[in-house]
Amino acid sequence: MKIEIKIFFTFLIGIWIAGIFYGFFADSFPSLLPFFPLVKKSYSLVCHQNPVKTFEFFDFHLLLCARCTGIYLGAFFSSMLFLFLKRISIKNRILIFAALPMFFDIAAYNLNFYSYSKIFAFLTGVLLGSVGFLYISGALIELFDFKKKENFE
Amino acid sequence: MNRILPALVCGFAAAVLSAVPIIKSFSCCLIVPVAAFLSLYLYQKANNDFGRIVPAKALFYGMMTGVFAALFTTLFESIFLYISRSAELSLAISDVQNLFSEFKDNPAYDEMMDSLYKIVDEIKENGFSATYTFSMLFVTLIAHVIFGIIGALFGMQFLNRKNSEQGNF
Repeated sequence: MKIEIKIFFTFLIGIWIAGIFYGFFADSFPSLLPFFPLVKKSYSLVCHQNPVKTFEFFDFHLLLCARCTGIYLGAFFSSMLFLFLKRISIKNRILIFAALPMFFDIAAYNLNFYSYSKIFAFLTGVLLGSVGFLYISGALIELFDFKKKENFE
Repeated sequence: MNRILPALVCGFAAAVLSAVPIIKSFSCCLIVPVAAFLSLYLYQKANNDFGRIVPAKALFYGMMTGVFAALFTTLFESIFLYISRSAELSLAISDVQNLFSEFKDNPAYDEMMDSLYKIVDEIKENGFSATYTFSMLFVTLIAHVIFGIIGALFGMQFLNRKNSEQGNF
């Protein structure tokens, strides 16, 4: 897989993460504000955006909850690591183990074993996001190598 | 039709689940990726084909599940809005004012609120707003297709590994 494609993926995830801070950017650059409802709606499709569960950045709520922010930041870190790796193979059971803390956290606070912690939600998200990206990196490599093979045939 | 049916069923199910508030808040961004994963699984089951899933097939099912989920989500949202327009809108207006109150000092605040109130007025009058429906379709198409593809790539990796461990290829 070409390094340019890897950089492109890192860039795409970076853009997605930058969008989480749209409220802050819209306050700094007023011309961005009219698009705020559309951007907020876009992120609402992938996250409940409950203000109690979101981090604040300079008095502005992020557009994703702590857990989702963690997932995408984890994926972003992994995509940067992916730039320097040739191929990494993550087994199904490692992915399941990486998801377990998150499911445990969701179940535990919904059953009132403890109250919601943004930090814990964020960290469980980072774990799943980083392992999850590395897990599908194999599929991305296969996808682009497959296209290359198809072009040759 | 047999090729598209798993994506159609899973996209429809994802749109129905997205409309249920409790499920939506529990599953967050997982509904569409899981639907895309399931559409690949259903395809294998329906065709009794447990061979290696190629990336092009995963892309196709991810994209189609995303497209169907986006179409049905927009359709359901428009129907709900039409049926409950007065009740939903009185809530929506106060919600909008609260949501964007942190931008009150921003010079573009009035411009943004004017365009939002224009949409609200259209819905009050006709039970439908073309601006709202098309922007909803636009954002859901982009988001659901991307998340559908991600889910299908997960599905491809997971099912290929599972089937190879079972000695299917």
